[in-house]
Amino acid sequence: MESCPYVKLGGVGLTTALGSGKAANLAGLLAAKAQYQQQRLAQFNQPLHGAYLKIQSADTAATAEQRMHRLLDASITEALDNAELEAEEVAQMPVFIGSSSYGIAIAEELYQNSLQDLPPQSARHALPIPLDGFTQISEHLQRRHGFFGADFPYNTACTSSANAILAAHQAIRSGYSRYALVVGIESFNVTTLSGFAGMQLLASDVMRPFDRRRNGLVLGEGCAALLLHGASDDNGLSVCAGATQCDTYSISASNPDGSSIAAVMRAALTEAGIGAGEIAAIKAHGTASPLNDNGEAAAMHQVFDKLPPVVCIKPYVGHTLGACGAIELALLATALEAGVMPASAGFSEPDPELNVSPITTVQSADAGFYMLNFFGFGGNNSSIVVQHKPVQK
Amino acid sequence: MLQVASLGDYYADVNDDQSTRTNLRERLTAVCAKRPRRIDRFIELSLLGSGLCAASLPESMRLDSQTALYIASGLASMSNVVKVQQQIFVHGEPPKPASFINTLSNSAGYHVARNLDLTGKNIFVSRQNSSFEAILQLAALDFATGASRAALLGVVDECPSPLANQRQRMRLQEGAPLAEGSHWFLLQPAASASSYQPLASISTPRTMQGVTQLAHWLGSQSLDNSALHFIGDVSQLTECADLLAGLPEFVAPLGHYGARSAGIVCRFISTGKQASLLSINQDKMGRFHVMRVDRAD
Repeated sequence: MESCPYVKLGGVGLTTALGSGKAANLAGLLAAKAQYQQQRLAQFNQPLHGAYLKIQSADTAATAEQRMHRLLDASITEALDNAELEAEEVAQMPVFIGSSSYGIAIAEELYQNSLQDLPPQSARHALPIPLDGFTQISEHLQRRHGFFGADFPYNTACTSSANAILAAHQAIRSGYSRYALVVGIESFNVTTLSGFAGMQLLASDVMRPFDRRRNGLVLGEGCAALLLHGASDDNGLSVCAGATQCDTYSISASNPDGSSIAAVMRAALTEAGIGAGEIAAIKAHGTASPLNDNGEAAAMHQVFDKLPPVVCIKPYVGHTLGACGAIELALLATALEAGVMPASAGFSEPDPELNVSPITTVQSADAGFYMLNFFGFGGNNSSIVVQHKPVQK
Repeated sequence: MLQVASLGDYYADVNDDQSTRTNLRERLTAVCAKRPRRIDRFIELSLLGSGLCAASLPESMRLDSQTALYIASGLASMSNVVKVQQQIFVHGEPPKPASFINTLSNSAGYHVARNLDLTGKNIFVSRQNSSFEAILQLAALDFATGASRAALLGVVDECPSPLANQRQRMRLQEGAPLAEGSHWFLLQPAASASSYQPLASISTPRTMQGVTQLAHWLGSQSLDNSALHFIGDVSQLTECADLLAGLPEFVAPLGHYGARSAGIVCRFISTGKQASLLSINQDKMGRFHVMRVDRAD
C-alpha cells in the first residue's frame, strides 16, 4: 500500500459529560459550563467523596459492561457515520485503543457481586479480576462493529490514547494502512477514583488549570472515536506529527522545572517540521494539580518566546486519563471545525509564578498549527501537532 | 525484517507453594545499578529480563538513550491488582499510593527506563496471548517511519497465587501448568545490523481474520528447514493441512502464561534445530497472528 503525505481526521464520535455526540459537546463547550457532580463511594470504611464529571446518558445501563458498550457504540457509530466504508475496509482496519482502566469497572462489578453472594468468612472464594480487562474493548469492536484488523490496546496512563493517535498516524504514513481507528475510553470505576483520592490529587469542587487557586483535578468519563485516513491534501484537520518520551524524574510527576516536557514539545515541533512561532494555540494538559501545571508552564515558557493562546479542556469533561488524548483532540477538532477555540472554564485568577493565562472567552480559530500536550504517570510525556485548514464551503 | 541484536530471558514454572518461587530481588542486584523501591513482582520481572538483555549486547553496541521501549503483557501486574481489589472491596480501604500507581501497567516501563537510562518512547500494550506480536508490529512501524533506530521489547507475565484463580482468568482447565516469564529482545531495522552479527531476524507479524488468509500466508513462505509453532485450536487448521504436512513442530515445554509466544521465540533462537520458525498464534476471537523467525546461523 502506498503511503499518503497527509493523515486527516475523517470522522469523530464523542460521548462525554458534556453530552452525547459532536453537536452536544460543541454546545456544551460554547456554553462554558461543566456539570460537576459529587460522587460518593460508600464501600469504604470511611466513605470517600469527590467531584466527578459523569455521563448521565450511560447511567441507565444495567451493568458496567453494558455501560462501556454504550459509550463505545455511540462514539464509533458517529465517527463512521459519513465515511462510507466497505465492510472489508472496516475488517482490515487497525484499531489503536487508549485507556487507563480498560475493563476494570466490569471486573469490579463481578467481584462485588460474587462477594455479596458469599458469607463474609468466605470472601476468599470470590475471584478478584475474573476476566482479562484489556481485551474487553477490542473484542466488542470485533463482535459488534466488525473490526478484525490488528488491535493495539495502549496502557500508558494518561497518555494512552495520545500515543494511540501517534501510532495510528505512523500506520498511515508508513503505508501499513489507509485507514485507522483510534478509540479512547474511560468509564467510571471505584479503583481509579479511590486511587486518586488516596494520592490526594483530587480537587474538592472544580478544576482550575493554571489558576492561583488550583487545588487538584476532577476525574471524568468519556469515549471518543477518531477515524484517521491518508489523503493527498491537507484540507480540514490533519495530524501532522508528534513525539512521546519518558521522564524518569518521578513515577507520578514530570520534572517540575519543565525540562522534560519542553523536550517532548520541541521534539513534536521538529517532527512536524515547524518552528514554535508557527503554533496558533496550545491545548494544555492542564490538570490543575500543582506539580503538573508548574512543569507545563515552565516548559511552555522555555519553548515559546511569546506564549500562543492556551486552551484547557479538562474543566469541561474532567480528566479522562487514558482517554484524554482522543477526547480532547476530538473536542478541539470539533471546535476548530466550527471556527472557534473554546474558553477555558475555571480560570480567573492568574498565578504570577506560572505566568500562563488560558483564554477565558471563546475566540475565533485561525488556520494553522495547534499543539496538544498530554502527560501521565510513569514518566510518559506526549505532544501532538495538528493542522487546521478550514474547508471552503 | 526486525534484526535481533540481543536477548534477555527469564522463565519459571510456578506452583502454589510461594517458597518455591525464585527470589527475584536477589537476582536484580546483578542487573540494577540502583536498588528500586516500591516495586511489585511484575516490575521485578521486567527489570530482570531487560537487564539481562542489556547485559547481553554485542560488544560493538551500546544502548542508546533514545532506544524505544515497548513492554507487553497478557495480564500485567496481576498480583498487585488483585491485592488492591481485595483491599477496596473486602477490607473497605482505599489503595495505598504506591500500590495504586503500580496497577498502572506502564509503571514497569518507568522503572526499566530509569534503570537503563532510557528517555525515548516508553509504551505498554496488552493484547492477550498475542501481546508480543503487537509490540513487534509497533516497533516495525517505528522503523518504517524512522521514528526509532533501535527498540527494546519485553514481554512479561507473572502468575499470582492461588493458581486456580489464574487458570479461571485464563480460561484454562484445572491442573493446566502455569508459568511466569520475562522475555526481552533488542531489535534494530535490517539495514542497521552491520557492526554485529544479529542472532535472528523476525518478520513483521501479521494479523489475519481467518484460516483462508492464513493459508495464503503459509503458501507464500519457504518451508525448507523450517519448524512450526502453533498456539490455538488445531482443528481449525484443516484448510492448511497440505501446507503444513511434514513441517516439524518446534516443541518447548513451557507452561501457560501470556508471554508464551515470546518465550517460544527466545527458545527457538537459542536452541532451535531448524533455520526458520513459523509462529502461528490464534487468539480467543479466532484471529491468527503470524510471524517468521530466521535464525542467523
